[in-house]
Amino acid sequence: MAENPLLKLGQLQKVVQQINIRQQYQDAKEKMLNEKENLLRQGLVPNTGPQTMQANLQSSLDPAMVPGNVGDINKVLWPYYFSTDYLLVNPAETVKNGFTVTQEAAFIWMAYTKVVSIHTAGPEVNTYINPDDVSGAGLAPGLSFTIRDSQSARDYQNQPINLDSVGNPRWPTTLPRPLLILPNSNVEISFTNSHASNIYVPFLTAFGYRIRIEDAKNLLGTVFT
Amino acid sequence: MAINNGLDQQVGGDIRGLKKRLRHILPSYLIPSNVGGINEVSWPFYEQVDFDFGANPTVTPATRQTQSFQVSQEAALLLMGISRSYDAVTTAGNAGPWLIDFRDRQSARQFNDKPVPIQVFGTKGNISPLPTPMLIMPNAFFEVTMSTYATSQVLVGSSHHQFSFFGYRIRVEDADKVMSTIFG
Repeated sequence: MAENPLLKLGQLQKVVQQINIRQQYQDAKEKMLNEKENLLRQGLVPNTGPQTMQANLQSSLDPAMVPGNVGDINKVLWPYYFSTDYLLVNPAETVKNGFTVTQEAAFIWMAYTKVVSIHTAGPEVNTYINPDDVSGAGLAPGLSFTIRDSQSARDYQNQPINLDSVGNPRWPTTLPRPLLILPNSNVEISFTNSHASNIYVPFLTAFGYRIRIEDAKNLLGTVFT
Repeated sequence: MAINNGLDQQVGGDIRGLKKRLRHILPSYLIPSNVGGINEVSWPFYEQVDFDFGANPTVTPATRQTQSFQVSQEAALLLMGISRSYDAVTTAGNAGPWLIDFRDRQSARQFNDKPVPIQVFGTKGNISPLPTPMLIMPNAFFEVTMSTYATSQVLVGSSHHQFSFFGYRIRVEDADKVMSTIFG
């Protein structure tokens, strides 16, 4: 009995279809392997999560450019600014200000800048005293400040420092060795105005990096003996 | 093979050879960042946000504007510095009672505990650097909010301000598979 040619054709088409599917699968696999090979040639691995991304960035970037916010939860760091509050400092007045490092992470204090405005009441006017103004209008005469790290009860000066001597935003006052301020710690900054008439609005802004410290609540100080 | 200071002869169009050669010849700080594998190269990039409260605005604690930029899908941004510019030196411009705060929407992280005066940041060429860069993933939003500490003040001049976020773009392969930059 002769075989039905249509049946044979149908079977043949099925086989072709199967071959095509296998071919597609093989092509996709080849493409994936090529991509993997390319990455490996660059010293990289496919990004499947933050771990591999960290390894890739470390491999492809200059050490100074490796970002701080990629990595283990207790190793990442991110930039942060802590600023004092808006407060008027009237003549012959000392005002307590400062900032508290929040519980989430500690603070590595690296630099600080000041911003001082002169305030007049009536119709309110706050005018920034630009320290770059060399005509003399860039100064805040009589305004001084003190810093106290309440975590260690350390004062950072023997007497108030003239605010004009620090923190021009163009040249922030950098701490050559950073300071670690633990979570929940408070940095007290007091402003004293000994000018006869000027009312000042001073801000002191600390710049640094936040970093998580495991069991920070168990650390009562940063010094051991 | 040429014996020129221990270097292989560079074959035309061979970028790998060029990279190797540059690494051999140049001090590390002079090696260009745009030579290498497609996922290794990085290039400088500025993201900008603009604020404008109009001319001679009256500001109160309710005065605020939020602007943002979105890192495009092509590559991530390694944020390395922030600077600002202004149109006027009067109270609506550089001398104003302006505050700023930054938020990385990807991690919901703020850069500050409370808004900081804009004058904290370097102007124009005097960029405020971030000594350790921060990675902002492709498609992520970065929000900037400008407000004021004045209780009620009529400012003088143009209140147009621009903030520039400088950094390097770097491709992150399969960035869509990396949902967070942190593990632990």
